[in-house]
Amino acid sequence: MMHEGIWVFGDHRNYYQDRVTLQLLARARDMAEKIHTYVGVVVIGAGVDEYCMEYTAHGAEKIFLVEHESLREYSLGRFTGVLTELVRECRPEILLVPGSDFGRLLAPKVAARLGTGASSDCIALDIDEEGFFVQMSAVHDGSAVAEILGREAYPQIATVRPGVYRERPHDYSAKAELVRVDVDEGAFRERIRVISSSREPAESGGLEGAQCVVCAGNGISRGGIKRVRELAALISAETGCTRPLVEKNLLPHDRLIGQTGKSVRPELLIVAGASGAAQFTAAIGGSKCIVAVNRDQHAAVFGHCDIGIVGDADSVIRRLIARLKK
Amino acid sequence: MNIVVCIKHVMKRKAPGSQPCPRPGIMNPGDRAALRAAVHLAGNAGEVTALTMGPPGAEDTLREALALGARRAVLVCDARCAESDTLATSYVLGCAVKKLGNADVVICGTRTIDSDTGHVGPQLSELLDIPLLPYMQSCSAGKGTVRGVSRCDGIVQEIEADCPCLITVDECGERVYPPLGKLGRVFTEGVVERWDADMIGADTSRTGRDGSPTWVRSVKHPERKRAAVILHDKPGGDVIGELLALLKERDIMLRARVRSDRGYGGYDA
Amino acid sequence: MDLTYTTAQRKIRDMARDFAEAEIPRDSEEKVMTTDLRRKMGELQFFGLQIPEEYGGAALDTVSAAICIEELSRVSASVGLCVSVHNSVAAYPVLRRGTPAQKEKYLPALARGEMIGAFCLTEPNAGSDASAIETIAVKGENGPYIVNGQKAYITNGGWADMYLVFCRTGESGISVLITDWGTEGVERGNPEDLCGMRGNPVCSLYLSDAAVSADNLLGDEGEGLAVAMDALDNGRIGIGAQGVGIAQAALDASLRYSMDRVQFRKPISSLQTIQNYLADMATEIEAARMLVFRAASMKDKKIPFRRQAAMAKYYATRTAMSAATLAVQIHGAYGYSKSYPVERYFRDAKVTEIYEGANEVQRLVIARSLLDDLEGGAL
Repeated sequence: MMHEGIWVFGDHRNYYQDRVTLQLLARARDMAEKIHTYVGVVVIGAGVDEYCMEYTAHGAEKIFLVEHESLREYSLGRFTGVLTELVRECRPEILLVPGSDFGRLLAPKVAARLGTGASSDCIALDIDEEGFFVQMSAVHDGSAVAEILGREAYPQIATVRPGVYRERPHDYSAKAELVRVDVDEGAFRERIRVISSSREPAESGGLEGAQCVVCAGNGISRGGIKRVRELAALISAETGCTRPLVEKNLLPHDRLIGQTGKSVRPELLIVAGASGAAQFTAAIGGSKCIVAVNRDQHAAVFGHCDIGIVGDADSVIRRLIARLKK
Repeated sequence: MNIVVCIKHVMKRKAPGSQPCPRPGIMNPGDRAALRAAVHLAGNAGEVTALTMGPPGAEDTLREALALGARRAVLVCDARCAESDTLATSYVLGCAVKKLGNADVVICGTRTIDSDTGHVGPQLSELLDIPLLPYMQSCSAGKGTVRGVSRCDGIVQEIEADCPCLITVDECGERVYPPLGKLGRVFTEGVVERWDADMIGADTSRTGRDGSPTWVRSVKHPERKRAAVILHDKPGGDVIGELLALLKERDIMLRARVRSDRGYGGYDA
Repeated sequence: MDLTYTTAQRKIRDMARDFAEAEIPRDSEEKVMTTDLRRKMGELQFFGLQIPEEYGGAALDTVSAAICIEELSRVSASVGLCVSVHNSVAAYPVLRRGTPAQKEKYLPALARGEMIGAFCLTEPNAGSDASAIETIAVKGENGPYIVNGQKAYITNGGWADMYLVFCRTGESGISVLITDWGTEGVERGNPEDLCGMRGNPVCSLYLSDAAVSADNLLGDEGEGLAVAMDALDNGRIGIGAQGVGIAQAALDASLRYSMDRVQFRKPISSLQTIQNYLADMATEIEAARMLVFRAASMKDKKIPFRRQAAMAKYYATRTAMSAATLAVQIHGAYGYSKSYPVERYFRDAKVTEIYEGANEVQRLVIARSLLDDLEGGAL
């Protein structure tokens, strides 16, 4: 039986901070044109009409909707069961899953249940001239890129990191076909008991969608971190940092830029006092313009920036603030 | 509680300018946190078994696992398992876990420094049909249950499941190192059991290349592509002025609290 | 004879290197031994390298112990110094000459790093001339020793909990008293403002009518100098390892720098002069390391190793100084600046030629050992 359609999993739980579903819908539309198929979005939950409308406005041509009260909260067990059933019934060729923490669990679980292949943390997706779905994944701590293809097993599943693709502009006039699917309650099995649940307070908006980011590295002194935040506030940028600062509890984990944190692709990224370890530089490659400050002129970060300043990072930040305030 | 920890033996990237090492593999750094969690969960009464699917050189890594608190070490080493992708790997590990027989909890890390898919934990839980407790920051053993704090997409939950279950452990908290004394002794006294695909009852059509629904066509090392303009902060110089001028050339106006005409200068939710 | 690392030694080296690179803070030269670092090192048994398992130590062979000190010193010579002195000349004598009660009291705490040890022989008027010490301990009838005197330039002095104090005990000569920090009458001086090793609180120790229990006599009365000689032979291996670590750091920095620094349109690593420097540094380091390992192996095999230990200390510290000097030269003006690490290697290296037996004394030891052998017909 033919497999058709490029599906995107609607990861609506973190909707406002995490727009990856919209980013993947945009990419799916580009790829769908090459293989002459449609783009679908999977929405699982309860009371999710607003997301269906958003996804329509951002490129979805079909909406596969499974609504049930027990699906109101995310549940890995239930969503795996439901998505697997949906896929078995409707047979998409490709399934794209946003690379959120949840997505990175859902995708391999569904793949294992279906006996199909999944790739992880893709930094690029494409259909090549022969019509193969090529998934480019960052490997070896971000220093290399692997081209991954699937054998004859469908759907081919890929998870994609946030910030890799740009979402399409909101199109009020777009329309999509709504497909409500009834899934057998047996698919709703969940063996994890949730005892309590809370949201971590996020400091402010997301790093991933930020247009401007100031990142503090290990070379910034404790006092200097206040100034980094001041600079960020001054130029309306988001504050980020490298791993050592999170390990020293100087900044929370949601500010971490790197392979184990967030990727950023702003117009301007200022990196102060970071040496440029591979795990960090792998996460900033999408930035349009990178300014790096480090007092060691041989620091690896200077190989990954557009403008480099060899000097003491604390001092440069201080003077930049002073100059901007004038 | 009896715990099985899945450990990966990975190749360390050679630092430029260093001499090639005779045995270049190491334990995946993230798996140390998994071992630490295992030792903690097992407590005094339980036993921790370290399990790896890998080449013969992975014995060194398993010995390190013994130094980090594992009581038993098993290496599944079989040419028919080579070139396995994550699904085939999870299948082989699943067969080995079943063969070990008494696991209350299986623990995996979440990231590796080579392929870094994070897939084996979720896929193994599927193949063993046991519940998955993901991204655990802390965990404790109850009566036939495991409970702990899971952190996923900014949502922190206290969750619990009945054993047998599978836990994935994030690399959080302090780095783990093997104590020097144990590390020294483990290379003379430690025992690593060697198993092959037949011993674990694996169907070889599901291992190795035959059992892998994905394949890697190429691995490329992208060139550095940014040509940096380097400024030096010298006394008496004006490096800030030079920076602002260079940014202006690239149409980036750094201004305090003012949105430039290009819309850059803020993120609206 | 196998001159290559065993797998265990390689793994120990890798672990010590990973630990040193990741955990030793780099933002302050002085505040390098943070409470956090000390706790982590204690848990991993860096403070009990050769203390037996029964006391909670790692019970490593001497080569592995030397490897640990080399790797720590490569990142921070001050941390390497603390660990080397604590293990080789403070814990070691207690292990060798301590009574069961003394071993029970001190070794487990030393092994965990809960107590840091220090070796107090040097005085303002007694450096190389160790037998000229003036600190006196007078024992009352069935009472404690009352100690008066001053010790100078004591490594680990500012944070040690256990001091091995060498003092004159009347006609019997020189003895060693294990002195606890907190004993009344024991005061520490301010940390010395030194050119290098600034992460180690080297200071004076003032003893005025300090009462030290007779149970704390280490060995017999009059054995002091023998205990010192034994300890220093062992200590020399550690300092030799420290020297190798400093020299290796200097070489690593010079390699990286010379590959990146471009002058006359080429990296300076393409210039023969620089290549000669790098080759010289690397060769001397390799030789120094081999001398350290040879002394260490001989000690483990219970072959007299005094001459080899002196050679190791002498040669490795000399190599540290010459490698660090070359490193500064290779870095040019940047080498002279505190923004680069090599000037610290240069400052740290210098004292290694002076302490734990000045290199002049080492040569004396070597020469004497050669001549003794000749006289004894051993040659």
